[in-house]
Amino acid sequence: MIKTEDLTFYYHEYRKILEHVSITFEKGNLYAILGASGCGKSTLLSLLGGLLTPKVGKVLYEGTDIAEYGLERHRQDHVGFIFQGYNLIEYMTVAENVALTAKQSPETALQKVGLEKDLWKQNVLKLSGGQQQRVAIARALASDKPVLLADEPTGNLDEDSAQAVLDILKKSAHEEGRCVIMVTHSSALAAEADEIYRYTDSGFQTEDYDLAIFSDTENVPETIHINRNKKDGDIHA
Amino acid sequence: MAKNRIFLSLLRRKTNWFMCLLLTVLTALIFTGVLIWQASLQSVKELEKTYGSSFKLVAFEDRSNPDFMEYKIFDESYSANVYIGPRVTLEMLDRVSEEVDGIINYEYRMSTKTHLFQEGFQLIPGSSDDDYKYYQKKRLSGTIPEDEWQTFYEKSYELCKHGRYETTGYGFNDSSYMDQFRNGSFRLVSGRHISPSDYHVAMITPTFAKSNNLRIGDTFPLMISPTNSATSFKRGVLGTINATIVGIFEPTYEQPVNSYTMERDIVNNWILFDLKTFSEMDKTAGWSGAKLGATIYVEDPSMTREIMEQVKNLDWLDKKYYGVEADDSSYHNAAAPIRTIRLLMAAGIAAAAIAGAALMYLALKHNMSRRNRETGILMALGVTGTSIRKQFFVENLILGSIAFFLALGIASAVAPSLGDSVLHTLSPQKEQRAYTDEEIESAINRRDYEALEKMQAVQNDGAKGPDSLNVRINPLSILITGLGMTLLIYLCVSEAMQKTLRLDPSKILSIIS
Repeated sequence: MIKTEDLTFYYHEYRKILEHVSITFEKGNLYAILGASGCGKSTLLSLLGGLLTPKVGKVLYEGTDIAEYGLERHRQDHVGFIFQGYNLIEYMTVAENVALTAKQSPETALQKVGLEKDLWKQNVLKLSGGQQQRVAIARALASDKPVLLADEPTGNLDEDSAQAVLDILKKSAHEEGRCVIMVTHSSALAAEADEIYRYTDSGFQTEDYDLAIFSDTENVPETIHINRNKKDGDIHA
Repeated sequence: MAKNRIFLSLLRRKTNWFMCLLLTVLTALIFTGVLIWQASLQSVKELEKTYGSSFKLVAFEDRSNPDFMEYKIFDESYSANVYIGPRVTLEMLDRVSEEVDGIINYEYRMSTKTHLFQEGFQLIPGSSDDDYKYYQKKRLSGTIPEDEWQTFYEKSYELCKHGRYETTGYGFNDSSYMDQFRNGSFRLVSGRHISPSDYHVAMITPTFAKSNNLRIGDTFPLMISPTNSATSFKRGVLGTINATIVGIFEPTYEQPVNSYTMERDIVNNWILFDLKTFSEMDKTAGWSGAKLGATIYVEDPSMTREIMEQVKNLDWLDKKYYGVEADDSSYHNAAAPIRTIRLLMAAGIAAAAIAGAALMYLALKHNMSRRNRETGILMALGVTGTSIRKQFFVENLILGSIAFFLALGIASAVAPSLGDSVLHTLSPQKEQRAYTDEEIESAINRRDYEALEKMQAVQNDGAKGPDSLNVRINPLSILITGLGMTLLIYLCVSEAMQKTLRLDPSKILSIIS
């Protein structure tokens, strides 16, 4: 569905943040990207979402280079963002925030994330962090984009709220067929994802198998997935 | 969706209303300036119509030429040299009017050095310039010894103070063209103006009429004296004119008069005649009244200079003895404060526009920077730059429109009184007051000739600019300000948004964070 090809990105050439990354993300899956703060996982998300332009390589959506398609159009048509800091418009209510880019009924999206109806007309700043994140997820769901990019969606939440948010994201992937890519530094949360990529000093590696998913070496497989939905735990090259 | 965002932003963001307030104040300033500036433009145009539409045709008096002087003896006891040289005649004026296009009328007036007297008539007493001033000068210079002066003073002072019952006459084709009527110094109280077909008619003031028990329709005699009788109290009578009163006029300003004011400068002593009668008097007296010549009026004030040239170049007009002179000092004096207002307002508008634009730009930029996060979120959510730009432009346009109408109300209320108060501040205040005999005597005793000059200076013309600028709201000022404001908002929003919306997408992240 959405994949990177030989993706390299840097702000300063001498310090590459991502180098030759090639990963494929499919619809119906929840992906977790693990890594320490500042390692470049959010940068990958931004590249996938068309917020950054790769220095080298491509991001392809359904086989089309998003740079050719237009980054603005890509954000408009394909990807929805969920941010760690929620990024809600402060002077709007819950319902108004969700309706901002809604293609589906905002009410349905709000119901999906389990926000009580009496909160819908409240200013978002009056909500708790967990509630605000649900609003942000509802906004992304209502925009009905096939790819959801969630950057530390549970970073500011308590355990219960984090679990609730994760459940919504899982549901969105598994029941609504979206491709949900979640950046997190929590191994526990990542463990609930269908597939996990860990970013280490040597680059992105699949969880458990510690195999590099990018390399200059032709012999190394381009991407390696762990598909937890498949009970046999096959490794796909 | 942009509509919703605009509506919600306008409704919820308090900073928008601060912006609206700022725009209102700035626009009200600019609007006020535009209104006053426009009113001053209109006032200057109106002044041009009333003051700037005439010039003078004058004859150059040459008393050194013996051919132009004639020795006359009057009443067997009085003699005088009478000027009989070139003068502006009625026939000449008719010919000029026929041969030069654009002339609509002319006025003819005599020199203020000429005398009419009405023995037995009651005038407002003043002094005789030729006599009183002459003796004062001699006294101040010490030419007349003090003891002789005392003798002279006792004999002549009272007589000097009352001049020679002399007044000033003017001749008109149409008296309504007289400067003082056009600039509002005089007004017709009753009867009518003198028209071109009149003969042996006159207009007097209510004071003159009351003092001498005259009414419209009454006929009164006037004796004509020669000019060069300065140091003599004898009067030569060259002829008598009977005139019937057809109109009463009065000055609309208060002319301060004291015993040192020249009697003939006291406007309540003036007599206006029809031009034929006046011309007859001029010939009878041998006055050099033609020296001041005639005032010629043109239809289009902007053509005055061109018509003057045409008259000057008429081949039959002997340039040695005749010439044309601009007659726009009254206009310049009256228009000066308004021109200053126009300049001030132009400078004010420019300053307000520059300051307003700068403040609006800074305010909008500040507002945009406060909304960078919102812009970044919207961009990340896939809202297009065009849509965001449109949102902010329309938002500011709505705020600007609200500010515009509020400013319109404020400016409408403030501009008229502000304009008038600026006008009054800038209008020169002519110091005019009547000095007492004690003050005059004190100045004489101090030999303060400068003070005496001041005491004798008199305002015989109430020429002045308008009392009010008559500031009105008109569609043009609304259009100018409205378009200016829209343009300013558009430029400011575009400029402020350009920096955010034209960012490389990579910057959006930093905007959001």
